[in-house]
Amino acid sequence: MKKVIVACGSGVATSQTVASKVKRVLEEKKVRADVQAVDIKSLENYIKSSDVYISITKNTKEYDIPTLNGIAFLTGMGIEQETQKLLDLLK
Amino acid sequence: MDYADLFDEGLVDLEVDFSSQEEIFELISNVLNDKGYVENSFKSAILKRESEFPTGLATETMKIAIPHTDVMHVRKPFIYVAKLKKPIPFLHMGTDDDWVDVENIFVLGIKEPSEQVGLLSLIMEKLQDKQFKKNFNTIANKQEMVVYLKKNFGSEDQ
Repeated sequence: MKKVIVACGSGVATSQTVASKVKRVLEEKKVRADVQAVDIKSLENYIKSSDVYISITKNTKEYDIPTLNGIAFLTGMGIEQETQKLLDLLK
Repeated sequence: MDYADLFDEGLVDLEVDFSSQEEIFELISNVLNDKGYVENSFKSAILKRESEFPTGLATETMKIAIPHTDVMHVRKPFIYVAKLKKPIPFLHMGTDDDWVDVENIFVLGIKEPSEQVGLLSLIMEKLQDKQFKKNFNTIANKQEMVVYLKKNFGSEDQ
């Protein structure tokens, strides 16, 4: 199963919220994936084993895996576009 | 957890006049500390967190900030609501150059992340609901505001 990682500053509010929204969206689309929220400090440990990174903070470095805009899942602005990208990446 | 329990009349500011983020965090942290909601470390933690990972959010219908920090600085969960008299600039989440003129602040006191996971989505949902937004903007009495928020965020209404 493909793995999606969501990271924010402390891993307590924003990433949890975005992860839960992403899970709901994927369930609706009947796409199976493992979605996990982490804090930014642990990101390095998870990124190697993940397929997609959903970012909420300003990216100070580039990762080897595709990165999506997590704020879209939070506010709903541009969510269709990010959802489509995610679905394509999880195919 | 019933989100209605997170609201407290003492944790609501309506038409409050601030001139900077620092002033907001200073006042809010002092109130939270006095009421036993946070540890002494909260003030510096939330300031640091906001400068590293800003929490301004803008959509077509709302301009808010949702400051929060790690669970270790929080003693018991809460939501502090501040309606600002004049907007205060906050950086938009995920940027270091996109300023948002924030109209309303929701400080999230997260103690149990797994139990409070629906909270932020609910705030977003409510603020994008025209009727809620209208009432929220209109209510000018703290007691009335808390009753309204409890009703809208409480589990009975879910």
